[in-house]
Amino acid sequence: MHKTILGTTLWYLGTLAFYVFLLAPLAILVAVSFNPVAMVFPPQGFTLAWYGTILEKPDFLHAAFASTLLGVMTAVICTGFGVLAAIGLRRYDGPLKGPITSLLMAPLFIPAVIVALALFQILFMMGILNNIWTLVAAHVVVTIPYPVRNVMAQLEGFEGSLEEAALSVGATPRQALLRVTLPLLKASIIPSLIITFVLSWNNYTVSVFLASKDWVTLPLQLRAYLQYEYQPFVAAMSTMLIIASVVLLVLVDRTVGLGAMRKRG
Amino acid sequence: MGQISVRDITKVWGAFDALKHIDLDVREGEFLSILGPSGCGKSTLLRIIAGLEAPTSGQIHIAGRDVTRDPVWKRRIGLVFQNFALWPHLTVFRNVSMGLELRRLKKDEIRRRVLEALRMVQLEPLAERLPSQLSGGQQQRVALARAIVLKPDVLLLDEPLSALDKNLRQDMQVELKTLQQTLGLTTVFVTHDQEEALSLSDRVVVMDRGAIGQVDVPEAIYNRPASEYVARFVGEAFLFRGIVSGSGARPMLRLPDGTSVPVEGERLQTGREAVAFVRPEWVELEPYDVHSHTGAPRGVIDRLMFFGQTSDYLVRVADRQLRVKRRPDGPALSPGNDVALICKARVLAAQVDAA
Repeated sequence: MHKTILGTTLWYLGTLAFYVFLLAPLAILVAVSFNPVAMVFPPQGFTLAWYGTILEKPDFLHAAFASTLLGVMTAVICTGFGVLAAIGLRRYDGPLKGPITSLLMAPLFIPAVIVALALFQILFMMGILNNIWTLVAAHVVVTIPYPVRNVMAQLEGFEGSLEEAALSVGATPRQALLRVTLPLLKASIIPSLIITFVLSWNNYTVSVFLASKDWVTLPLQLRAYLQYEYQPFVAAMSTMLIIASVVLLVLVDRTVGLGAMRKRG
Repeated sequence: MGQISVRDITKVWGAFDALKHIDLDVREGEFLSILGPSGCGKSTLLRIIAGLEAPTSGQIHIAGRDVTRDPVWKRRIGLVFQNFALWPHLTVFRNVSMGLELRRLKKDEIRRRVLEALRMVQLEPLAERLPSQLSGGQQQRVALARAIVLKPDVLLLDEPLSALDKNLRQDMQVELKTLQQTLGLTTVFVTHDQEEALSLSDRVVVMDRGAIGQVDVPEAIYNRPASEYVARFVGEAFLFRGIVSGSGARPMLRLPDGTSVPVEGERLQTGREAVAFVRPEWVELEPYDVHSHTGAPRGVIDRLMFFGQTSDYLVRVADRQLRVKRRPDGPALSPGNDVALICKARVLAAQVDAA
């Protein structure tokens, strides 16, 4: 009896310590962003002034625009490819099925820095580095496993007869895809869009190699700024990045949760 | 208009012959069951008729049209699946209306026809529900409505009742049969349940490892099976060998133990060996009496099982056990009693010449 109480207590303490280590730095960062004087902790007062200064930094506004554009393009293109790949892989049953699946999953296992360096070398040799499309392509490459895996997982539990039923009432395969398959895949497509957006929005490793001076992303701009000065303004910027990510991840949770409930019901 | 003809259909998967030269005609308005164990090719045959599977060779005609090369969506068929295959994101109404929407019919005509179809399956009040809010039987009725709303040339059903529990299944059998007769729809019904096939069908096709074992009316399939396989598959059969004896009018089969059983069958030749069978309800049991039962097969009751309307008697005859189904109103019999078996056995036509 005492033993189990001790075990439970240790377990809770361990969990608490885990979250403290994980979240404390973020909490400090958020606290600092409201601090009227320089980067010190604990805060000496409360102000939203640093958030106002973001608007006075055109570099950051441009970076926020670049990151958003990049994130949206990556999410749409990557999820689009992912859905097609997953549907294709479900229908195709030839000898290349395994290798193609592994290839699409490979970015999960290969360090992003290696992928980025390799892409950098190739694109540099081809002389097509300085545009947003190479950056989008690179982000798509490193995030493609997520939509493929999401959609494939949903297709696993998918009755083939749902599509066949559509064909039997006169739908062409394209109409069956549009009216039955894709609407049902919404439960994995929406989370995929959000996850790929967040991954792209937060990505530093790939962007640092491939971003051109016209397309500096927010994480890059923050890092560059920190090299020279250290002001609560950076903390304010970072807090906004954190909030954006959290909001989107809560959205993912909601959509995935709803999808799972619908399947059970 | 709604007849189907299957001409020399084969289907080969690698080294496996799923279907071997199937020829079959389904008549206009007929309810035809395809019966067989899993893996016999019955679902494959249905999927080939539907166009979901391409045959390796052969032709399919539906309503007089060669549809062998037509894809599913051009075949004008109604299809009902074992798992219902309702679209979970659409209401009952939209599940049924999808086919009409694809045909670009006018809104009010779609509405009229969908409600008419739902009325036929008594689901009109549930039109705005989602499939997940319906019971299994209701889902199956939606699937039926979805198939018949298009006024298809033929209705194809792939084990549509096997996902339902027993009572519901019996209700649905009656409903399905009534609906089919009302609409006069040519129907092909795939099942592994012999009672279902016998009770619903105008004719039954018994399939055996990719080939047709027998096609006939249910009564003939049950009482005059063409082979041992069919005899065993459509009901319980006790098979035994003997030599045909007796005169042409009253043929008998003499068994190895010297007793004889009256038999019926075609092309019986005196002196030839033959295989015959009896079903549990064909045999009458009487307390054995040396004088009146001379020459009749004799057994001992091993066990008695009471089922309400009937009882099953397990009778040991020459080291084998035979099940006899009997109403409880005859003479009282209990385990250990000596009994005479009074019956007429059926000689399996296929075995007469082979013997």
